Amino acid sequence: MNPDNRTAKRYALVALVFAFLFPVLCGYDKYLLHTGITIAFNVALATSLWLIWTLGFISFAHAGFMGIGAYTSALLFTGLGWSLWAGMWVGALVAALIAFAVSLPLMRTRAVYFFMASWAVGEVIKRIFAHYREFFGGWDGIFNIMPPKLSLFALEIDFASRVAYYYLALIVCTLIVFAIYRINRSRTGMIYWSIHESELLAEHVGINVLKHKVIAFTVACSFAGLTGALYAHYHTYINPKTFDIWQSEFSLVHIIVGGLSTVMGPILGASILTIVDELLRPTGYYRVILFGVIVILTVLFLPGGLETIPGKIRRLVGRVRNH
Amino acid sequence: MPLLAINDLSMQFGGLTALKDLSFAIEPGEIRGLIGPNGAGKTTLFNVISGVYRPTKGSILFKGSDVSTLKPHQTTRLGIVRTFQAVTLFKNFSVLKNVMVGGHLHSKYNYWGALLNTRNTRANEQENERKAVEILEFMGIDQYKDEVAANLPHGHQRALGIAIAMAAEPELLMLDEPCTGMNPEETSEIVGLINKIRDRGVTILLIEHDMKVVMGICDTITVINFGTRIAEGPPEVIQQDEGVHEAYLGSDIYAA
Repeated sequence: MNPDNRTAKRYALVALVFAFLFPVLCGYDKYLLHTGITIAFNVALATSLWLIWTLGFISFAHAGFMGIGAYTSALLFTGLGWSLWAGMWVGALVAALIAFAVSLPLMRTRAVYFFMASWAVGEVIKRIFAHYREFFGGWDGIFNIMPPKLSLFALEIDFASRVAYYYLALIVCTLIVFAIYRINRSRTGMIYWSIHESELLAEHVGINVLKHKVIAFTVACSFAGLTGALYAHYHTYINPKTFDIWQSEFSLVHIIVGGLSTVMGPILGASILTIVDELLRPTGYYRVILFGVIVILTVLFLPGGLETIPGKIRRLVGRVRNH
Repeated sequence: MPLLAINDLSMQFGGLTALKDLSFAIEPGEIRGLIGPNGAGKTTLFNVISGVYRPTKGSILFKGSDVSTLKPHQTTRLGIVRTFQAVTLFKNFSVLKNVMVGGHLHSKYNYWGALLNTRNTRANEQENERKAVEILEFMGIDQYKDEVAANLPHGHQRALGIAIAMAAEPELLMLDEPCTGMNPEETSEIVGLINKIRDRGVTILLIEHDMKVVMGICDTITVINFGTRIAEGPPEVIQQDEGVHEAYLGSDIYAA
């Protein structure tokens, strides 16, 4: 194992311990916990979007699939009274099934055509939510999606509590990130990156390129669906606009600013930019403009993204030491 | 039975006929040269055999079964592996990883094992790596094992291209101009390698413009022009063939 990877693992462990202690550290501050939950959602979304990127694709339909998970779980709750515990899995499953069906034609397109086609898919998903008012609630969305309760032996946990929901979001986010980390480090990841590098050559060494594209897209979208279900029961209210192009675009910005070559990229990008976004909240509509400025500055001055900073510091320290 | 038999093969792109009623067969263990003027259809033939295109008409029998409708990843699975005219590598991967992707097909793997990182999975990865190193040694580029592929000199990039193909364990190896852009020294290295590969029991179909190479190592040469076969025979016969000289428009075929 190379030293880079060992340090990265150590950082990840420190970050995880910090994340678990965070509610205590912030004194159970409601606003900070809310920010923490938002970070967890954004990290899960950005990381699963990055999984699609490892094959060389940027999907603009990602928020749409988040929406499918959210609407599935919300409707199961308001219609049938199913709690999030069932809704999150069904939501992930429905997102996966639709992603699978859509990816069969979608994954035959490449580069900029995929980009545009996925944009259309995301937009269509949003419009379907908005159009079928009877079923999906139209532009008004769905209200009163209550968080679940959990009875563990004598312990009764109500996830209407922000601390409880924070831990739920953190655990699910960690599992998603860990699964993607494992996929990326394994042969599967090697195959995905080889498709990224040269689809032609990958095909000619016996890799069924379309199959892997479809699997990767389906898996990533089911993670987005899972995140969406958690989102719905946290905010208790969803509408089609929550899952439009902007949400996908934010995730894209997160992975560009964070870095595209390792899983640390989306984690760093989504965490830091969510905090920046909260800090910029008082600036109102200028927020989006400032976001654009951040992206341009990153591309200009830190083309590898935030994930390259530790290596840059190490090299700098090494150079100073050698003098 | 021939290893590869091509029967009445035609390939049409709209109004353009790239291959027309082409037939020939390759015996196991031989080095077969495929030559012809530019635009004769040589690379198109490679694309049709490997499954990039589906032929308009005719059949391709590999060990007796028709492979003309298969996709590239399927023909590779059966043992038909090719290289490309333009250097085609996983450029940002290390040299070793390039060859490991090539060996993917013959190293056991499944999604769940990969996700859980089981002991079996790790053992398979090590086995695949060991095989990859062996192939790099065989190709004489193992000293670049940890180098990024894009940083290799041109000649060694071409050798790496062949190494990737070898990792896929071909029975029929199709080389598309392996000596392009090489100096005489590198060329003679590749020629030595092609002979070594054949000695391992791999049948070779070779497209090459360097006539010294073709005449030097091929057992039989098939000449095509306008998508049809115009001559076939051992190098000595092809050199004397009137039709072949005419196809090259009277120009000395050694001029290339």
